[in-house]
Amino acid sequence: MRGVIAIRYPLFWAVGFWMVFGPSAFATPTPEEVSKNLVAAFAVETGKTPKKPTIVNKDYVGFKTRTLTFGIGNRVYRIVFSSDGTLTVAVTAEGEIGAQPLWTANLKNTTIEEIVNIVYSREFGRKYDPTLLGVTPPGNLADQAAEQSTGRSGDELRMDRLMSRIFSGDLTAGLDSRSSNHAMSESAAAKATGLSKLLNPCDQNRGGAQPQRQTVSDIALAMAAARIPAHAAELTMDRSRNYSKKKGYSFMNELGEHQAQPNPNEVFRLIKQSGSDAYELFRAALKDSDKTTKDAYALAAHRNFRTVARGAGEEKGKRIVDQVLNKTIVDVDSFTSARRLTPKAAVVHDRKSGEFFVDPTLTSPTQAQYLLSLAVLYAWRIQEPETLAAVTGYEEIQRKIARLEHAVLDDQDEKELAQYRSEARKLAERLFQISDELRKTGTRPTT
Amino acid sequence: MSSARPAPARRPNPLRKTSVRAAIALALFSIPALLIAGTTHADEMAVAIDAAKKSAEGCDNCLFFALPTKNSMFSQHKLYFVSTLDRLPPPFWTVAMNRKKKAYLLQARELGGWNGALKEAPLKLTTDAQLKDFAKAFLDLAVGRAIYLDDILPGEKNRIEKKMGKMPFSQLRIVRDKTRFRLQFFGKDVTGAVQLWDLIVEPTGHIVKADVREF
Repeated sequence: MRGVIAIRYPLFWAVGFWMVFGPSAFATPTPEEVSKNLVAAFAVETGKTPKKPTIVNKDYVGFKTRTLTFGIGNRVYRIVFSSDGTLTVAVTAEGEIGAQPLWTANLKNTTIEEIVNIVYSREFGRKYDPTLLGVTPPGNLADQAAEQSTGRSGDELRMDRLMSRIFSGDLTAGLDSRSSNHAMSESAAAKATGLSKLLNPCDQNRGGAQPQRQTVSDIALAMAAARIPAHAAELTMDRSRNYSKKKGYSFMNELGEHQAQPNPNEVFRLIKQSGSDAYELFRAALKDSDKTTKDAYALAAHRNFRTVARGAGEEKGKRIVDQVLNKTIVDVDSFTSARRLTPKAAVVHDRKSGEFFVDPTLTSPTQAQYLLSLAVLYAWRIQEPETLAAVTGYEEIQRKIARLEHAVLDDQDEKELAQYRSEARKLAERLFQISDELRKTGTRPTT
Repeated sequence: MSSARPAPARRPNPLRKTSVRAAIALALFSIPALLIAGTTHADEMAVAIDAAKKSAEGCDNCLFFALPTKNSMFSQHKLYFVSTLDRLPPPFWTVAMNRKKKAYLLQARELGGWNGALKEAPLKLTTDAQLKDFAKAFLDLAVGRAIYLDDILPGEKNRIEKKMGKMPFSQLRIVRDKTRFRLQFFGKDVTGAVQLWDLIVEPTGHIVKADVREF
């Protein structure tokens, strides 16, 4: 009977082992762990316990973020753990509205020590040394677990190997009932079952082992699923979906979530600073991934960027983005004055000065992206050779007409004037077409 | 003796002579007429552009262009569309000009121009078809080439229902009073926004009130 259990529930034993030796040996850094280590590090260094960091969970479409906010002195650090496996550390100094990105990394390749070090080194100007401070470096947890395992029985070691195989992606070994793990002894099984009994809060009577087995199996399956998506087609699909959805995520978005009243100047300054963010949008626009978000502004921005990216190409598009960012003005008075002629416009472009006046009331990062995309679209359309030729041609003809109208004309001049007027009319017709297209251009957000 | 009859003297073809004269006369009169007409047309365009320029604050040095257009509601006036590419999105004006070259700006935001022009040449709106044409003309001229919507698409309907609760109507709704009409209709402006217009109109075409809601 026991042998049957051993054969049927390999993951059951795997989780038992996981519970015995602790989850930290395999886990990626979590906000709670980072929080604990940060507090410990700063407590030892400053001699007093800093205020406990707050952890905020946010659900986006297709992915989640967990943001740890840690205030120390006159600076606030935000560490964003994204469900797609990225980690971003940013700092906001007193008086600043926007955060300055410090570090972005893959969560899997990151240790708690590294994360703490980013904050620690910025605050104290030297590298964080967890051993001196008495904090166990998370990187050593695996070694610690290995040290502990030296005294274990052969079954436990086999279990260890099985776990390693499972976590390294070999799910079949764990799921195959005829695999070698049937040799596991009763002691390991009993230990795991006992632990699972203790850990199961739903079990009031602590009677049979079945509920515990079920709980442990569920945990094990969840763990294995999270660890080994390559072996499950569905999970792979989920991941790819999340990956495509993730394109809609931006650090700017995350930033916006934490600003009570973001100043549009600040938002645009940050967009300018993190030019790569704008490029990223631009690059993403080249790929057909409309359904990354349901935010109307983000969708409109994406479509506008895509129009330019497809029409102008990526390199030229980037140049236009730079031009626009250098000429963007976020000012209430200027915008109000510029918008008198086009009351509904979110962006107004003055062709002669080259300036773009953007709506200062659209303050969220996605709204800022939309404004940028619209400005880029206008810049591209007005720089098109055909448009430029029509405008300059019309200007030239008007100049000639004005010169002839103010002169005494002979028959030849009269004919010339009539010809110019005819040409001017043709050009005006073309300019009207362009004007109509430009009025229609740009996707507006439909809320 | 045969007496040969002398051949009759060749007489000039009176028809030919007339046609030549007519052609010469036509040429003599038409060239100046064309020149005058051209000049007049250019002058009117300049007047239309000036009228638009006056309302284009901060765009004094912009390069404007005008294009003549027509509408049956303004049979006594010459109509011009005026725009510029020095500002984006390009601003847009419709100018109605009477024979004395007095210009009226037709704008939904400021109905003085519309009512002024129609005061000079009042309409006689009675039938539903006339009122529908009036609504179309209003959208085309005063709302900057917006179009009248006969039908609302399902997506647009959803958007409207999201904001209004339920779709109030889908086609032109006319409420008749003793002296006035109330016209409610959907239009679509150049940006693609669906607009619900609510006009109170007198039979002369004078608009008492114009409200709009955008979706």
